[in-house]
Amino acid sequence: MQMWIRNFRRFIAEAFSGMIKNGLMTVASVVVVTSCLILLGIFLIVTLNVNSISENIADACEIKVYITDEAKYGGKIQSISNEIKSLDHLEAITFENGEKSFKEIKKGMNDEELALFEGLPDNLMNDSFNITVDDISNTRKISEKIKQIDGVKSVENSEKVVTFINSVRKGVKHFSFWTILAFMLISIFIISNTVKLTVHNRRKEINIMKYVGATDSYIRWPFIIEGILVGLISAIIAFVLTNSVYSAIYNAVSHDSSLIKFIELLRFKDIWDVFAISYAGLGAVIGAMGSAFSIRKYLKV
Amino acid sequence: MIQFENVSKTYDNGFPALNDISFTIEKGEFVFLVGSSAAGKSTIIKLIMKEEDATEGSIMINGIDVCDLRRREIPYFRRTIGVVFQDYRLLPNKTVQENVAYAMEIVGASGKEIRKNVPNVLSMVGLAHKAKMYPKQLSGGEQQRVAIARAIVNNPVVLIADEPTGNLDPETAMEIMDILEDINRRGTTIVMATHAENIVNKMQKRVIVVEKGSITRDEEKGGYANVD
Repeated sequence: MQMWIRNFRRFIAEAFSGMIKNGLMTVASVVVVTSCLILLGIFLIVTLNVNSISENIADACEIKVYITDEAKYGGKIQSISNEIKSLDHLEAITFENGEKSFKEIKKGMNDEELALFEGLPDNLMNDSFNITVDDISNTRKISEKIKQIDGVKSVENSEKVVTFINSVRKGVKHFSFWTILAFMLISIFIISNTVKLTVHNRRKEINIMKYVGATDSYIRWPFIIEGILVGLISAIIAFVLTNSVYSAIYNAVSHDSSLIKFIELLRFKDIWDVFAISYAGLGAVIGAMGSAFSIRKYLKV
Repeated sequence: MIQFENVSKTYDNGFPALNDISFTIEKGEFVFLVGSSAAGKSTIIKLIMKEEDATEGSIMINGIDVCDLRRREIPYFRRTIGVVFQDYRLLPNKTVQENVAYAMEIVGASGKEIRKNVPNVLSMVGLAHKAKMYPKQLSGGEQQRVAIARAIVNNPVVLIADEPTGNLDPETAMEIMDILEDINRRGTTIVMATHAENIVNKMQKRVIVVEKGSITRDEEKGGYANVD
């Protein structure tokens, strides 16, 4: 145990001195890993935002059920409401009084616009139920069922938007999974080649260590720790860069009021942990694996 | 101590480097391995270091059957043997004392032991004052002395030297030989491959001559060339 601690201290010291004494190669490796992590970060940003935006849109995609006037004045609203509530997959249902909503809309208008509605009755709009469903894929099914209910005048569900969002979300999910996987493999490949260069420069060193009687693991550990350190340094740089660039984009977009409300980007402070964890984890794994792969063949002396 | 019995070595490319050689070196001996370039000296050293495997025969080093060694046992075996090369083979990124200390670190020596032994062994080879220099700041002879210090710091039973004076001028070479003789006097067995005729003649030690993969002469207090 004591020996293990002693060795571990020596490995860390070796790793640091290796990094400093092979400064140029360390810088090159850090640049490569950082670039890989940032590419990965771009995909993360796109995926997270597409997901959140599509969820916003989906939430906005309520089913609007208009009630006939006969039902309204025939006191059937409660029974229609109960009938709708008995359906599966509902998340929320609210009643909207047609006259009230009409007043609300008129409040937001200027005089010119108001003039157009002069003299029209206040019960111009039908009463309606606004329904949200648990998953937008159920929208169509529920709409069909509600149409069958007596007293329902019409059902609006922006079905095309819903199917479109659904396919976008599915597409992004698949696409991001495979690209992230591909990026990991490419990164490990690039890193192991970069490290191979440093190891190649140091093969004489490794050779000497073997002659003096160092075990494989004694030689390997400092290199692996060095790889992990390179990965972590890259992760920090990538994190700082992602934060500043993404925040700049966020500020630019959120100040632009012409973009509609539900295309709202996620704030970095809400998703920073995803980046911190994936950068540090991937950086360390890529660095360690790169070192381990490339040193293997030089140990066979 | 070192025992070769009917050892043959044919390399993968078909080159027959050694052909049925046998010899025994006792503890405390100082032996020269001489012969021309491709005669088989280096192969013998590689076999002792377990850098190559014998095709046939058996090799015993310090009571260990080298042919039976498993791959993961090799590092531990090598720690019992000190080795010095023609090209010094020092770690370029480490100072003189770090190079020597490395050999102790890998065997798990404590910092205390290292701080005690490294200066001792460096003053033995006369380099205590250059402990903090890097190899490239030293002359060839000084680098070779560092290599010797590293080779003996763990008190090996055998010191193998492969052409240790090959890159040095005659005067420096003799200084190195003095150090080796000094180490030998303290009880370490030394096997030195060389084709430095004047050194062999001057030292008057046991000489094993290898020619074309066979031992052609083995005599105590021999000279480089056959006197007959």
